[in-house]
Amino acid sequence: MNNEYILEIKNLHVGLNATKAEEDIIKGVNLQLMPGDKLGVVGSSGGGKSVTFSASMGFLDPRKWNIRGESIYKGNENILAMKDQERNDFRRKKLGYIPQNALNSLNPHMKIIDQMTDNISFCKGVSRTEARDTAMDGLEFIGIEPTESNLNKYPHQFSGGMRQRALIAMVLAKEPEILLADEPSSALDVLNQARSVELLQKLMEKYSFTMIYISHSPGMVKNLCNKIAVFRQGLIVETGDVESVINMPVSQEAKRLLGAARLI
Amino acid sequence: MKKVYISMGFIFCLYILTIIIPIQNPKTVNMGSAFLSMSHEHLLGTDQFGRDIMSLMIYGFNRTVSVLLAAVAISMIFGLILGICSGYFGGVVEIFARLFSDISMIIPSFVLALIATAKFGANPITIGIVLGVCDIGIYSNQAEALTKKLKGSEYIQAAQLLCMSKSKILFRHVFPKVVGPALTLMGGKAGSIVLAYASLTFIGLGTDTSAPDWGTMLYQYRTYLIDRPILLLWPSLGILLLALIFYYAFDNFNMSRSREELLYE
Repeated sequence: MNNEYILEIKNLHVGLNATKAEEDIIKGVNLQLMPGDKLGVVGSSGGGKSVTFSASMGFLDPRKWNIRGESIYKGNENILAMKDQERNDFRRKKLGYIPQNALNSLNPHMKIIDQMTDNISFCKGVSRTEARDTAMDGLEFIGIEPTESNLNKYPHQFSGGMRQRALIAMVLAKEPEILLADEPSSALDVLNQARSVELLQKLMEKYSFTMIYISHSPGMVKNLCNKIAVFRQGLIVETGDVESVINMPVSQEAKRLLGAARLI
Repeated sequence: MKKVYISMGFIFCLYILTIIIPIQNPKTVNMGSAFLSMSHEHLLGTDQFGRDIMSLMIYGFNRTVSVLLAAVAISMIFGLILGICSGYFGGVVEIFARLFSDISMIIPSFVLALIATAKFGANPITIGIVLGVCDIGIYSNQAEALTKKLKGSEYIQAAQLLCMSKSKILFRHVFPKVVGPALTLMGGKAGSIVLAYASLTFIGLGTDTSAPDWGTMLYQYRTYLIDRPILLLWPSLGILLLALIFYYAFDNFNMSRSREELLYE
Protein backbone atom coordinates (compact mmCIF):
# COMPACT_ATOMS: atom_id res chain seq x y z
CA MET A 1 0.00 0.00 0.00
CA ASN A 2 1.29 3.41 -0.91
CA ASN A 3 0.81 6.10 1.73
CA GLU A 4 1.28 8.89 -0.81
CA TYR A 5 -2.07 8.28 -2.46
CA ILE A 6 -5.25 9.67 -1.02
CA LEU A 7 -7.21 7.03 -2.88
CA GLU A 8 -6.02 3.84 -4.51
CA ILE A 9 -8.45 1.56 -6.31
CA LYS A 10 -7.03 -1.91 -6.83
CA ASN A 11 -8.45 -4.50 -9.19
CA LEU A 12 -12.05 -3.41 -8.66
CA HIS A 13 -14.70 -5.77 -10.01
CA VAL A 14 -18.39 -4.97 -9.63
CA GLY A 15 -21.31 -7.05 -10.74
CA LEU A 16 -24.89 -7.67 -9.79
CA ASN A 17 -25.08 -10.46 -7.28
CA ALA A 18 -27.09 -12.73 -9.52
CA THR A 19 -24.65 -12.54 -12.42
CA LYS A 20 -21.55 -14.56 -13.08
CA ALA A 21 -18.07 -13.02 -12.84
CA GLU A 22 -17.74 -12.76 -16.62
CA GLU A 23 -20.83 -10.57 -16.63
CA ASP A 24 -19.29 -8.02 -14.25
CA ILE A 25 -20.08 -4.41 -15.04
CA ILE A 26 -16.67 -3.24 -13.81
CA LYS A 27 -13.95 -5.60 -14.91
CA GLY A 28 -10.81 -4.77 -13.00
CA VAL A 29 -10.25 -1.04 -12.53
CA ASN A 30 -6.98 0.26 -11.10
CA LEU A 31 -6.53 3.92 -10.24
CA GLN A 32 -4.38 6.10 -7.98
CA LEU A 33 -5.09 9.63 -6.86
CA MET A 34 -2.66 11.96 -5.14
CA PRO A 35 -3.94 14.54 -2.63
CA GLY A 36 -5.17 17.58 -4.50
CA ASP A 37 -5.66 15.76 -7.81
CA LYS A 38 -8.67 16.73 -9.86
CA LEU A 39 -9.61 13.67 -11.90
CA GLY A 40 -12.02 14.02 -14.79
CA VAL A 41 -13.84 10.83 -15.70
CA VAL A 42 -15.32 10.55 -19.17
CA GLY A 43 -16.74 7.78 -21.29
CA SER A 44 -19.87 6.83 -23.15
CA SER A 45 -23.06 6.08 -21.22
CA GLY A 46 -22.96 2.70 -19.58
CA GLY A 47 -19.19 2.70 -19.51
CA GLY A 48 -19.07 2.14 -15.76
CA LYS A 49 -18.01 5.59 -14.60
CA SER A 50 -20.63 6.10 -11.88
CA VAL A 51 -20.65 2.46 -10.78
CA THR A 52 -16.86 2.42 -10.32
CA PHE A 53 -16.73 5.40 -8.02
CA SER A 54 -20.00 4.67 -6.25
CA ALA A 55 -18.63 1.23 -5.46
CA SER A 56 -15.22 2.50 -4.38
CA MET A 57 -16.80 5.02 -2.01
CA GLY A 58 -19.06 2.39 -0.49
CA PHE A 59 -22.34 3.75 -1.85
CA LEU A 60 -23.48 0.51 -3.41
CA ASP A 61 -25.49 -1.90 -1.30
CA PRO A 62 -23.36 -5.07 -0.89
CA ARG A 63 -26.56 -7.10 -0.61
CA LYS A 64 -27.43 -6.20 -4.20
CA TRP A 65 -23.96 -5.81 -5.69
CA ASN A 66 -20.99 -8.16 -5.86
CA ILE A 67 -17.98 -5.93 -5.19
CA ARG A 68 -14.45 -7.35 -5.20
CA GLY A 69 -11.17 -5.50 -4.91
CA GLU A 70 -9.85 -2.74 -2.72
CA SER A 71 -10.42 0.95 -2.34
CA ILE A 72 -7.65 2.20 -0.08
CA TYR A 73 -7.94 5.58 1.61
CA LYS A 74 -4.60 7.22 2.51
CA GLY A 75 -2.78 3.94 2.30
CA ASN A 76 -4.40 2.70 5.50
CA GLU A 77 -8.05 1.91 5.28
CA ASN A 78 -9.86 -0.22 2.77
CA ILE A 79 -13.23 1.46 2.36
CA LEU A 80 -14.77 -1.74 1.03
CA ALA A 81 -13.74 -3.65 4.12
CA MET A 82 -15.06 -1.11 6.60
CA LYS A 83 -17.98 -1.95 8.82
CA ASP A 84 -21.22 -0.02 8.19
CA GLN A 85 -20.79 2.54 10.98
CA GLU A 86 -17.14 3.10 10.11
CA ARG A 87 -18.00 3.60 6.45
CA ASN A 88 -20.82 6.00 7.35
CA ASP A 89 -18.41 8.03 9.50
CA PHE A 90 -15.90 8.11 6.66
CA ARG A 91 -18.48 9.26 4.14
CA ARG A 92 -19.87 11.85 6.50
CA LYS A 93 -16.54 13.36 7.49
CA LYS A 94 -14.22 12.83 4.55
CA LEU A 95 -16.37 12.59 1.47
CA GLY A 96 -18.45 15.14 -0.37
CA TYR A 97 -20.90 13.81 -2.91
CA ILE A 98 -22.83 15.68 -5.56
CA PRO A 99 -25.24 13.14 -7.06
CA GLN A 100 -26.36 12.90 -10.62
CA ASN A 101 -29.74 14.51 -10.14
CA ALA A 102 -28.54 17.26 -7.85
CA LEU A 103 -31.47 19.55 -8.58
CA ASN A 104 -33.87 17.25 -6.74
CA SER A 105 -31.52 16.54 -3.86
CA LEU A 106 -32.81 19.44 -1.84
CA ASN A 107 -35.90 18.99 0.31
CA PRO A 108 -38.57 21.13 -1.36
CA HIS A 109 -40.29 21.68 1.99
CA MET A 110 -37.31 23.12 3.85
CA LYS A 111 -35.67 26.47 3.31
CA ILE A 112 -32.27 26.21 1.69
CA ILE A 113 -30.57 27.95 4.62
CA ASP A 114 -32.08 25.41 7.05
CA GLN A 115 -30.91 22.48 4.93
CA MET A 116 -27.41 23.89 4.66
CA THR A 117 -27.32 24.53 8.41
CA ASP A 118 -28.53 21.00 9.14
CA ASN A 119 -25.97 19.38 6.87
CA ILE A 120 -23.01 21.45 8.03
CA SER A 121 -23.94 21.03 11.69
CA PHE A 122 -24.32 17.27 11.23
CA CYS A 123 -21.22 16.70 9.12
CA LYS A 124 -18.80 18.97 10.95
CA GLY A 125 -20.25 18.39 14.39
CA VAL A 126 -20.57 22.11 15.13
CA SER A 127 -23.38 24.04 16.79
CA ARG A 128 -26.31 25.19 14.70
CA THR A 129 -25.32 28.83 15.21
CA GLU A 130 -21.85 28.23 13.84
CA ALA A 131 -23.29 26.07 11.05
CA ARG A 132 -25.75 28.79 10.11
CA ASP A 133 -22.96 31.38 9.89
CA THR A 134 -20.98 29.02 7.65
CA ALA A 135 -24.08 28.41 5.55
CA MET A 136 -24.67 32.14 5.12
CA ASP A 137 -21.05 32.61 4.06
CA GLY A 138 -21.56 29.78 1.60
CA LEU A 139 -24.66 31.40 0.13
CA GLU A 140 -22.89 34.71 -0.22
CA PHE A 141 -19.97 32.96 -1.91
CA ILE A 142 -22.24 31.54 -4.58
CA GLY A 143 -23.84 34.91 -5.22
CA ILE A 144 -26.97 34.70 -3.07
CA GLU A 145 -27.07 37.71 -0.77
CA PRO A 146 -27.95 36.57 2.77
CA THR A 147 -30.93 38.93 3.02
CA GLU A 148 -34.02 38.10 5.05
CA SER A 149 -35.95 37.47 1.86
CA ASN A 150 -33.37 35.07 0.39
CA LEU A 151 -32.88 33.23 3.66
CA ASN A 152 -36.57 32.42 3.78
CA LYS A 153 -36.67 30.99 0.28
CA TYR A 154 -37.40 27.39 -0.62
CA PRO A 155 -35.50 25.46 -3.29
CA HIS A 156 -38.24 25.83 -5.90
CA GLN A 157 -37.93 29.60 -5.62
CA PHE A 158 -34.42 29.44 -7.02
CA SER A 159 -33.46 28.60 -10.59
CA GLY A 160 -31.96 25.20 -11.39
CA GLY A 161 -28.52 26.71 -11.65
CA MET A 162 -28.81 28.45 -8.29
CA ARG A 163 -30.01 25.24 -6.65
CA GLN A 164 -27.06 23.35 -8.03
CA ARG A 165 -24.61 25.99 -6.89
CA ALA A 166 -26.28 25.99 -3.45
CA LEU A 167 -25.82 22.23 -3.32
CA ILE A 168 -22.16 22.51 -4.31
CA ALA A 169 -21.60 25.20 -1.67
CA MET A 170 -23.41 23.04 0.90
CA VAL A 171 -21.31 19.98 0.14
CA LEU A 172 -18.02 21.87 0.17
CA ALA A 173 -18.82 23.85 3.30
CA LYS A 174 -18.21 20.68 5.27
CA GLU A 175 -14.65 20.67 3.81
CA PRO A 176 -14.44 17.12 2.54
CA GLU A 177 -11.13 15.58 1.61
CA ILE A 178 -12.55 13.90 -1.47
CA LEU A 179 -15.33 15.35 -3.61
CA LEU A 180 -17.18 13.00 -5.92
CA ALA A 181 -19.28 14.89 -8.44
CA ASP A 182 -21.36 12.59 -10.62
CA GLU A 183 -22.40 14.49 -13.75
CA PRO A 184 -23.59 17.41 -11.63
CA SER A 185 -24.25 19.73 -14.54
CA SER A 186 -25.92 17.36 -16.97
CA ALA A 187 -29.37 18.86 -16.37
CA LEU A 188 -28.25 22.47 -16.78
CA ASP A 189 -28.11 24.76 -19.77
CA VAL A 190 -24.75 25.88 -21.11
CA LEU A 191 -24.77 29.20 -19.25
CA ASN A 192 -25.40 27.54 -15.91
CA GLN A 193 -22.84 24.87 -16.68
CA ALA A 194 -20.30 27.65 -17.15
CA ARG A 195 -21.35 29.23 -13.85
CA SER A 196 -20.95 25.88 -12.09
CA VAL A 197 -17.48 25.48 -13.52
CA GLU A 198 -16.62 29.00 -12.38
CA LEU A 199 -17.90 28.25 -8.90
CA LEU A 200 -15.95 25.03 -8.62
CA GLN A 201 -12.81 26.83 -9.72
CA LYS A 202 -13.34 29.46 -7.03
CA LEU A 203 -14.00 26.75 -4.45
CA MET A 204 -10.84 24.90 -5.46
CA GLU A 205 -8.88 28.04 -4.57
CA LYS A 206 -10.70 28.38 -1.25
CA TYR A 207 -10.69 24.75 -0.12
CA SER A 208 -8.15 22.02 -0.58
CA PHE A 209 -9.72 18.78 -1.77
CA THR A 210 -9.26 15.92 -4.18
CA MET A 211 -11.96 15.77 -6.81
CA ILE A 212 -13.41 13.05 -9.00
CA TYR A 213 -15.55 14.75 -11.62
CA ILE A 214 -17.66 12.46 -13.77
CA SER A 215 -18.88 14.16 -16.90
CA HIS A 216 -20.03 13.65 -20.44
CA SER A 217 -18.27 16.85 -21.42
CA PRO A 218 -14.51 16.70 -22.09
CA GLY A 219 -14.63 20.51 -22.24
CA MET A 220 -15.75 20.81 -18.62
CA VAL A 221 -13.17 18.24 -17.57
CA LYS A 222 -10.46 20.25 -19.32
CA ASN A 223 -11.49 23.39 -17.40
CA LEU A 224 -11.61 21.74 -14.01
CA CYS A 225 -9.22 18.82 -13.89
CA ASN A 226 -5.55 18.06 -14.13
CA LYS A 227 -5.98 14.33 -14.82
CA ILE A 228 -8.40 12.36 -16.93
CA ALA A 229 -9.57 8.75 -17.09
CA VAL A 230 -11.48 7.41 -20.08
CA PHE A 231 -13.88 4.54 -19.43
CA ARG A 232 -15.27 1.98 -21.83
CA GLN A 233 -17.28 -1.11 -20.95
CA GLY A 234 -16.18 -1.25 -17.34
CA LEU A 235 -12.49 -0.61 -17.86
CA ILE A 236 -10.19 2.41 -17.98
CA VAL A 237 -8.90 2.52 -21.53
CA GLU A 238 -6.76 5.63 -21.18
CA THR A 239 -5.54 7.80 -18.35
CA GLY A 240 -3.06 10.61 -17.89
CA ASP A 241 -2.70 14.38 -17.79
CA VAL A 242 -5.77 16.08 -19.12
CA GLU A 243 -3.88 18.19 -21.64
CA SER A 244 -1.99 15.28 -23.19
CA VAL A 245 -5.02 12.97 -23.39
CA ILE A 246 -7.30 15.62 -24.84
CA ASN A 247 -4.74 16.92 -27.34
CA MET A 248 -3.29 13.56 -28.28
CA PRO A 249 -5.69 10.72 -27.43
CA VAL A 250 -4.33 7.26 -27.94
CA SER A 251 -7.29 4.93 -27.36
CA GLN A 252 -10.14 4.59 -29.85
CA GLU A 253 -12.69 5.49 -27.19
CA ALA A 254 -10.90 8.72 -26.31
CA LYS A 255 -10.59 9.64 -29.99
CA ARG A 256 -14.25 8.91 -30.53
CA LEU A 257 -15.39 10.97 -27.54
CA LEU A 258 -13.18 13.93 -28.26
CA GLY A 259 -14.11 13.84 -31.93
CA ALA A 260 -17.78 13.93 -31.02
CA ALA A 261 -17.20 16.74 -28.50
CA ARG A 262 -15.48 18.86 -31.17
CA LEU A 263 -18.40 18.23 -33.52
CA ILE A 264 -20.84 19.66 -30.98
CA MET B 1 -53.16 27.14 9.66
CA LYS B 2 -55.15 30.19 10.69
CA LYS B 3 -58.40 28.29 10.98
CA VAL B 4 -56.66 25.66 13.13
CA TYR B 5 -55.41 28.30 15.52
CA ILE B 6 -58.80 29.99 15.69
CA SER B 7 -60.78 26.78 16.14
CA MET B 8 -58.47 25.15 18.64
CA GLY B 9 -58.03 28.46 20.44
CA PHE B 10 -61.79 28.69 20.74
CA ILE B 11 -62.08 25.13 22.09
CA PHE B 12 -59.23 25.75 24.52
CA CYS B 13 -60.71 29.01 25.84
CA LEU B 14 -64.09 27.37 26.19
CA TYR B 15 -62.50 24.48 28.07
CA ILE B 16 -60.73 26.82 30.49
CA LEU B 17 -63.85 28.95 30.93
CA THR B 18 -65.99 25.94 31.68
CA ILE B 19 -63.54 24.91 34.39
CA ILE B 20 -63.51 28.37 35.93
CA ILE B 21 -67.23 29.21 35.66
CA PRO B 22 -69.13 27.93 38.69
CA ILE B 23 -71.75 25.43 37.63
CA GLN B 24 -74.46 23.61 39.46
CA ASN B 25 -73.43 20.24 40.81
CA PRO B 26 -74.90 17.73 38.31
CA LYS B 27 -75.90 15.48 41.21
CA THR B 28 -78.15 18.20 42.65
CA VAL B 29 -81.80 17.26 42.22
CA ASN B 30 -84.63 19.74 42.71
CA MET B 31 -87.96 18.24 41.65
CA GLY B 32 -89.67 21.57 42.31
CA SER B 33 -87.69 23.12 39.42
CA ALA B 34 -88.34 20.37 36.87
CA PHE B 35 -88.88 21.32 33.22
CA LEU B 36 -88.34 25.05 33.69
CA SER B 37 -88.07 27.11 30.52
CA MET B 38 -85.02 29.08 29.49
CA SER B 39 -84.42 32.04 31.76
CA HIS B 40 -81.57 34.15 33.05
CA GLU B 41 -81.23 31.72 35.94
CA HIS B 42 -81.32 28.59 33.76
CA LEU B 43 -80.03 29.58 30.36
CA LEU B 44 -81.09 26.32 28.72
CA GLY B 45 -83.84 25.40 31.16
CA THR B 46 -83.98 22.42 33.48
CA ASP B 47 -84.63 18.72 32.99
CA GLN B 48 -86.94 16.24 34.62
CA PHE B 49 -84.88 16.24 37.83
CA GLY B 50 -84.67 20.06 38.02
CA ARG B 51 -80.98 20.00 37.02
CA ASP B 52 -79.67 23.01 35.13
CA ILE B 53 -79.17 21.84 31.55
CA MET B 54 -76.45 24.44 30.92
CA SER B 55 -74.42 22.98 33.79
CA LEU B 56 -74.93 19.48 32.43
CA MET B 57 -73.85 20.63 28.95
CA ILE B 58 -70.69 22.21 30.35
CA TYR B 59 -69.92 19.12 32.36
CA GLY B 60 -70.49 16.95 29.31
CA PHE B 61 -68.32 19.23 27.17
CA ASN B 62 -65.38 18.90 29.55
CA ARG B 63 -65.66 15.14 29.68
CA THR B 64 -66.09 14.85 25.91
CA VAL B 65 -63.04 17.01 25.24
CA SER B 66 -61.05 14.92 27.75
CA VAL B 67 -62.06 11.77 25.90
CA LEU B 68 -61.20 13.39 22.57
CA LEU B 69 -57.76 14.50 23.75
CA ALA B 70 -56.94 11.11 25.21
CA ALA B 71 -58.17 9.23 22.13
CA VAL B 72 -56.44 11.51 19.63
CA ALA B 73 -53.19 11.58 21.58
CA ILE B 74 -53.01 7.79 21.82
CA SER B 75 -54.04 7.05 18.26
CA MET B 76 -51.95 9.74 16.56
CA ILE B 77 -48.77 9.35 18.55
CA PHE B 78 -48.64 5.57 18.41
CA GLY B 79 -50.07 5.44 14.90
CA LEU B 80 -47.49 7.86 13.51
CA ILE B 81 -44.55 6.18 15.25
CA LEU B 82 -45.67 2.75 14.09
CA GLY B 83 -46.44 3.85 10.56
CA ILE B 84 -43.29 5.89 10.01
CA CYS B 85 -41.03 3.14 11.37
CA SER B 86 -42.87 0.52 9.37
CA GLY B 87 -42.67 2.51 6.15
CA TYR B 88 -39.03 3.52 6.55
CA PHE B 89 -37.41 0.37 7.92
CA GLY B 90 -39.61 -2.29 6.36
CA GLY B 91 -38.80 -5.93 7.01
CA VAL B 92 -39.62 -7.32 10.44
CA VAL B 93 -40.65 -3.88 11.73
CA GLU B 94 -43.21 -3.61 8.96
CA ILE B 95 -44.58 -7.08 9.64
CA PHE B 96 -45.13 -6.43 13.33
CA ALA B 97 -46.46 -2.93 12.80
CA ARG B 98 -49.00 -4.15 10.27
CA LEU B 99 -50.05 -6.99 12.54
CA PHE B 100 -50.66 -4.58 15.39
CA SER B 101 -52.51 -2.13 13.14
CA ASP B 102 -54.76 -4.84 11.75
CA ILE B 103 -55.58 -6.16 15.20
CA SER B 104 -56.37 -2.68 16.49
CA MET B 105 -58.79 -2.12 13.62
CA ILE B 106 -60.45 -5.52 13.84
CA ILE B 107 -61.38 -5.43 17.52
CA PRO B 108 -64.72 -3.65 17.93
CA SER B 109 -64.36 -0.60 20.15
CA PHE B 110 -67.60 -1.38 21.98
CA VAL B 111 -66.34 -4.77 23.11
CA LEU B 112 -63.02 -3.29 24.17
CA ALA B 113 -64.84 -0.49 26.01
CA LEU B 114 -66.93 -3.06 27.88
CA ILE B 115 -63.84 -4.97 28.96
CA ALA B 116 -61.95 -1.79 29.91
CA THR B 117 -64.89 -0.44 31.89
CA ALA B 118 -65.29 -3.72 33.74
CA LYS B 119 -61.60 -3.82 34.57
CA PHE B 120 -60.73 -0.19 35.22
CA GLY B 121 -64.04 1.42 35.97
CA ALA B 122 -66.18 3.86 34.06
CA ASN B 123 -64.38 7.13 33.34
CA PRO B 124 -63.69 9.29 30.30
CA ILE B 125 -59.95 8.59 30.26
CA THR B 126 -60.48 4.82 30.08
CA ILE B 127 -62.89 5.27 27.20
CA GLY B 128 -60.54 7.74 25.55
CA ILE B 129 -57.71 5.21 25.69
CA VAL B 130 -59.94 2.49 24.28
CA LEU B 131 -61.11 4.63 21.39
CA GLY B 132 -57.54 5.75 20.79
CA VAL B 133 -56.19 2.20 20.66
CA CYS B 134 -58.87 1.22 18.14
CA ASP B 135 -57.82 4.05 15.80
CA ILE B 136 -54.05 3.44 15.89
CA GLY B 137 -54.25 1.27 12.79
CA ILE B 138 -55.84 3.97 10.66
CA TYR B 139 -53.08 6.49 11.37
CA SER B 140 -50.42 3.82 11.09
CA ASN B 141 -51.54 2.72 7.63
CA GLN B 142 -51.67 6.27 6.34
CA ALA B 143 -48.27 7.15 7.81
CA GLU B 144 -46.73 3.97 6.38
CA ALA B 145 -47.98 4.67 2.87
CA LEU B 146 -46.77 8.28 2.96
CA THR B 147 -43.40 7.32 4.41
CA LYS B 148 -42.82 4.71 1.73
CA LYS B 149 -43.59 7.28 -0.94
CA LEU B 150 -41.27 9.84 0.67
CA LYS B 151 -38.50 7.28 1.11
CA GLY B 152 -38.22 7.08 -2.68
CA SER B 153 -37.77 10.85 -2.97
CA GLU B 154 -34.43 11.99 -4.23
CA TYR B 155 -33.83 14.35 -1.37
CA ILE B 156 -34.31 11.54 1.14
CA GLN B 157 -31.87 9.40 -0.84
CA ALA B 158 -29.45 12.33 -0.91
CA ALA B 159 -29.72 12.64 2.87
CA GLN B 160 -29.04 8.91 3.19
CA LEU B 161 -25.98 9.22 0.97
CA LEU B 162 -24.82 12.02 3.22
CA CYS B 163 -25.03 9.40 6.00
CA MET B 164 -27.46 11.54 7.93
CA SER B 165 -28.71 9.55 10.88
CA LYS B 166 -32.01 7.76 10.41
CA SER B 167 -33.57 9.60 13.34
CA LYS B 168 -32.60 12.95 11.81
CA ILE B 169 -34.00 11.97 8.41
CA LEU B 170 -37.25 10.77 9.99
CA PHE B 171 -37.62 13.81 12.22
CA ARG B 172 -36.52 16.56 9.84
CA HIS B 173 -37.62 15.24 6.47
CA VAL B 174 -40.30 12.59 6.88
CA PHE B 175 -42.30 13.58 9.94
CA PRO B 176 -43.24 17.11 8.79
CA LYS B 177 -44.78 15.71 5.62
CA VAL B 178 -46.60 12.87 7.34
CA VAL B 179 -48.11 14.77 10.24
CA GLY B 180 -50.18 17.13 8.05
CA PRO B 181 -52.36 14.42 6.47
CA ALA B 182 -52.57 12.74 9.89
CA LEU B 183 -54.04 15.91 11.33
CA THR B 184 -56.54 16.10 8.48
CA LEU B 185 -57.54 12.53 9.26
CA MET B 186 -57.77 13.48 12.92
CA GLY B 187 -60.16 16.30 12.11
CA GLY B 188 -62.49 13.87 10.43
CA LYS B 189 -62.04 11.23 13.12
CA ALA B 190 -62.66 13.70 15.96
CA GLY B 191 -66.29 13.90 14.95
CA SER B 192 -66.65 10.14 15.01
CA ILE B 193 -64.88 9.96 18.39
CA VAL B 194 -67.38 12.46 19.81
CA LEU B 195 -70.19 10.37 18.36
CA ALA B 196 -68.64 7.11 19.54
CA TYR B 197 -68.32 8.45 23.07
CA ALA B 198 -71.89 9.71 22.98
CA SER B 199 -72.98 6.27 21.78
CA LEU B 200 -71.08 4.52 24.54
CA THR B 201 -72.54 6.77 27.20
CA PHE B 202 -75.97 6.36 25.61
CA ILE B 203 -75.81 2.66 26.36
CA GLY B 204 -74.43 3.37 29.82
CA LEU B 205 -70.73 2.82 29.38
CA GLY B 206 -67.90 5.12 30.39
CA THR B 207 -69.62 7.33 32.88
CA ASP B 208 -71.46 7.71 36.09
CA THR B 209 -75.12 8.18 35.09
CA SER B 210 -75.64 10.72 37.86
CA ALA B 211 -73.05 12.93 36.21
CA PRO B 212 -74.25 12.60 32.65
CA ASP B 213 -72.43 13.17 29.42
CA TRP B 214 -74.14 14.30 26.26
CA GLY B 215 -74.87 10.70 25.26
CA THR B 216 -76.37 9.93 28.65
CA MET B 217 -78.47 13.06 28.40
CA LEU B 218 -79.81 11.87 25.05
CA TYR B 219 -80.58 8.52 26.62
CA GLN B 220 -82.34 10.04 29.61
CA TYR B 221 -84.29 12.57 27.56
CA ARG B 222 -85.33 10.18 24.75
CA THR B 223 -88.69 9.55 26.41
CA TYR B 224 -89.48 13.27 26.07
CA LEU B 225 -88.90 13.33 22.32
CA ILE B 226 -92.57 14.17 21.61
CA ASP B 227 -93.44 16.28 24.69
CA ARG B 228 -90.27 18.24 25.21
CA PRO B 229 -88.00 17.82 22.16
CA ILE B 230 -85.93 20.84 23.19
CA LEU B 231 -84.33 18.70 25.90
CA LEU B 232 -82.73 16.57 23.19
CA LEU B 233 -81.78 19.57 21.11
CA TRP B 234 -78.99 20.80 23.39
CA PRO B 235 -76.85 17.67 23.66
CA SER B 236 -77.43 16.94 19.95
CA LEU B 237 -76.26 20.46 19.03
CA GLY B 238 -73.27 20.07 21.31
CA ILE B 239 -72.17 16.85 19.60
CA LEU B 240 -72.78 18.32 16.16
CA LEU B 241 -70.94 21.58 16.79
CA LEU B 242 -67.91 20.00 18.42
CA ALA B 243 -67.57 17.52 15.57
CA LEU B 244 -68.01 20.27 12.98
CA ILE B 245 -65.39 22.53 14.59
CA PHE B 246 -62.76 19.80 14.40
CA TYR B 247 -63.72 18.85 10.89
CA TYR B 248 -63.56 22.46 9.71
CA ALA B 249 -60.29 23.16 11.52
CA PHE B 250 -58.35 20.25 10.05
CA ASP B 251 -60.02 19.87 6.68
CA ASN B 252 -57.23 19.82 4.07
CA PHE B 253 -54.72 20.70 6.75
CA ASN B 254 -51.34 21.68 5.47
CA MET B 255 -48.24 22.02 7.59
CA SER B 256 -46.80 24.52 5.14
CA ARG B 257 -46.28 27.64 7.12
CA SER B 258 -45.79 29.99 4.26
CA ARG B 259 -47.41 30.88 1.00
CA GLU B 260 -44.08 30.25 -0.72
CA GLU B 261 -43.95 26.66 0.44
CA LEU B 262 -47.57 26.18 -0.51
CA LEU B 263 -46.71 27.25 -4.07
CA TYR B 264 -44.61 24.11 -4.37
CA GLU B 265 -47.60 21.98 -3.42
